[in-house]
Amino acid sequence: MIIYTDIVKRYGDITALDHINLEINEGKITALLGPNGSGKTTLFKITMGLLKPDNGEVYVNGLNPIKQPIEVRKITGYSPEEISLFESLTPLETYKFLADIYEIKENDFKTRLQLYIKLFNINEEINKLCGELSHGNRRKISIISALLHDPDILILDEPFTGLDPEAAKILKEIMKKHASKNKIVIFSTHILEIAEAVADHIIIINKGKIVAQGTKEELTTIAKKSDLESIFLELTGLSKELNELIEILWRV
Amino acid sequence: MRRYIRIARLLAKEATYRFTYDRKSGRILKNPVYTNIIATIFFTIFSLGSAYINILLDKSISSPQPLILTLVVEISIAIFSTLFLMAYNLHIISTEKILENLLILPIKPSNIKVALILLNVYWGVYAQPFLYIPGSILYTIQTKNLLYLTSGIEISIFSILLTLALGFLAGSISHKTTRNPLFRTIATIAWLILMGLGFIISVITRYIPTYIIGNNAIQLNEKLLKVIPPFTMLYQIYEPGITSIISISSIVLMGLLLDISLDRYWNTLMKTPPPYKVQKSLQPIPNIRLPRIPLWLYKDLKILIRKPKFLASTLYLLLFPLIIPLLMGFTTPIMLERELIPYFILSMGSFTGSAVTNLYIMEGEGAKLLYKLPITKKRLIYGKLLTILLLSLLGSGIIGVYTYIMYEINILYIPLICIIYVLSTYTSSILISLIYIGNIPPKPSAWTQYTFSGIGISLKILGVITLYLILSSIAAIPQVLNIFNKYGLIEINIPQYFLWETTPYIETIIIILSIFIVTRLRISKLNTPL
Repeated sequence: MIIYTDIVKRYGDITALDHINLEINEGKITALLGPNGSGKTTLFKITMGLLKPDNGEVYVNGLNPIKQPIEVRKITGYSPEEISLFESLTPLETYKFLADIYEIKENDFKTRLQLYIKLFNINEEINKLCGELSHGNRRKISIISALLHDPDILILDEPFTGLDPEAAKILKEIMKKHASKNKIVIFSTHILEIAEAVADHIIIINKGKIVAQGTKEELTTIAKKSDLESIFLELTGLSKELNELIEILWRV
Repeated sequence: MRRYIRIARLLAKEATYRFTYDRKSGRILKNPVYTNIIATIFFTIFSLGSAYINILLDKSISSPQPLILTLVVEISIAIFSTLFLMAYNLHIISTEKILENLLILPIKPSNIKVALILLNVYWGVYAQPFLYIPGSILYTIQTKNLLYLTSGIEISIFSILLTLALGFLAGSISHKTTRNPLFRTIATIAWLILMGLGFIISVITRYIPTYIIGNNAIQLNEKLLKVIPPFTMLYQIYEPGITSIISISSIVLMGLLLDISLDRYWNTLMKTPPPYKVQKSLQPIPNIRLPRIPLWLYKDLKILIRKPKFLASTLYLLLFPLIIPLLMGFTTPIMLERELIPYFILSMGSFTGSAVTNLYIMEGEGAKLLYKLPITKKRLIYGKLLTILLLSLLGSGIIGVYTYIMYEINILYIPLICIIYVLSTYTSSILISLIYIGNIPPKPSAWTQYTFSGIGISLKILGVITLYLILSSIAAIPQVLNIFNKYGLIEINIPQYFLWETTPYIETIIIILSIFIVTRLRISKLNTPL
């Protein structure tokens, strides 16, 4: 379980996270929805111990990421939104390096890698330099990097951006399987249909605050709207603003 | 240790790839291994050579003074040859976010920090002992005193720690150069100093003989030098005791300084700027105005002043006609005969024109966008030339004033000198641009200095330089012969019109205008997209 208690994170005069209290449970897929700059990535980075909150505490399966970042990272697989790979290495070389860092047993490494190469159809890319891969393939490589050590917690920041429909379908299934093994799966997305289709639990975050959370049915009741897009726009307060903007667009 | 080395090797490979990988050829164009080998050879020769000269001057090395002066030069070379490169590389590591891949992994920060030190040692710092130790071995053999070697080793450690500490410190503030105007100015000056390293060393080496020999030899303040590291490490050969304690303490202090500066750099890497500003509802639209200067010029000037390295290099090249006589003569600038000045400025045109190179390289990642815009090669060249024209107009003012003061030329000729300078810079920029435009990658790609390097391009640029040198040399023949006549070296009749004061100016302007017409014809055919 990941427990966030009264988390505050400020960047100068900007409050990225404003007193966040949250629990993320095992065995479920949790989707984090929010407009750009709402604080999703900041929350993930705090979970990984990459950022220190100004206030509050986080516990990741009982570990404090600020005090025990190495232990947290050992049990977590993280694929950041901004794909960052070793461009001078091939995916295979990258995975070998990761196997060394995560101390993955050779048999497990072989089995998992063969499986993911097949699932994501990257047989031809495995020996090319990461710097020469397309955006979609880079995304696949990044996701496999997060999965390779079979982590207890899977954190995926905008994982579907750039993925083709086939890879997106595979990723959804991987997330479901991971959750079925009573592990934590949390991801952020702008594609509301995906959140609707995959997530067991949806958290809507706006301006650093959690505006609503629950299953899709629960959110429907709160927002009195039927589809996730309308729920999202209503709960983030963007609905009115958006209508005004659309009006301006047609006036010009 | 195995993990440190593995991480360091990975970082080195990644950084080299990001700096110098040529996607066209699939090769890494600049391998630090070769640079390291060259530095090692050069440093060893320098160390042995200067030690040999010192031994020739005084076989028993009875005084530390010549060693101190050699050390001043050696430590200047050591620091300047690696410091800026290190700061630049560290800046790239932070801006390219190369460490981000490692930070999300279960790797202790201390392991990454050690790897960063190893990486910078690999990037050139490792060669520093070769500046000190070969010489100290020679002194040891000559004097049979092992303290020379001990001192050489101590100075090497001190020099390495100092360079690393300064490098990490510079790396930790380098990100401020693009935002803070003060830091940008400081960085530009620092780059100018680095690029004028030859000039600085020439100053030092010119003063060395004054210190060592001659009636005006200046006595160094020994009491002060004995306690200043790394000189104190030399004095311990002659007066061990307190100097040895200061030497060891200074090495420990350098170690601490390195630790502090590494932490500072680390904190810079860890400081994550907010990815986006949290949105605010329907903010008032800012007043948007288009600048009143050509937009191409506006864009290039904006980029140029935000990139101190390129700005320094551009300024340096534009002031080449001024720097060359200074470099050659330093205290008393080499005085050209007045009638040769127009030819000299014309011949320097090819160097000043190469400042346009920076304008192409600095497009960087943004070059990809150029391919998608409805612009022709011709428009791109003219865009770049606009910036060169403006900068050369500014440079011409400096050149004009400098020439007026130093050569006391009739003030009426100063505008002509400025015109020659501007036109030679402009025309050579066109020729160099024509070379580059023929070599830009056909597909949208980022432009780096490696896009515009290679044997073919270098030979063509050399051709441009040679063209200017040959044309100015041929045109200057009558004047040179006349100078020889004046000094009684030869006796030859030269037609009078060649000796008119205005002739060199008219000749050079005619040459430049001819080049200009030819290049204009060539450019007019470049109405093709990128």
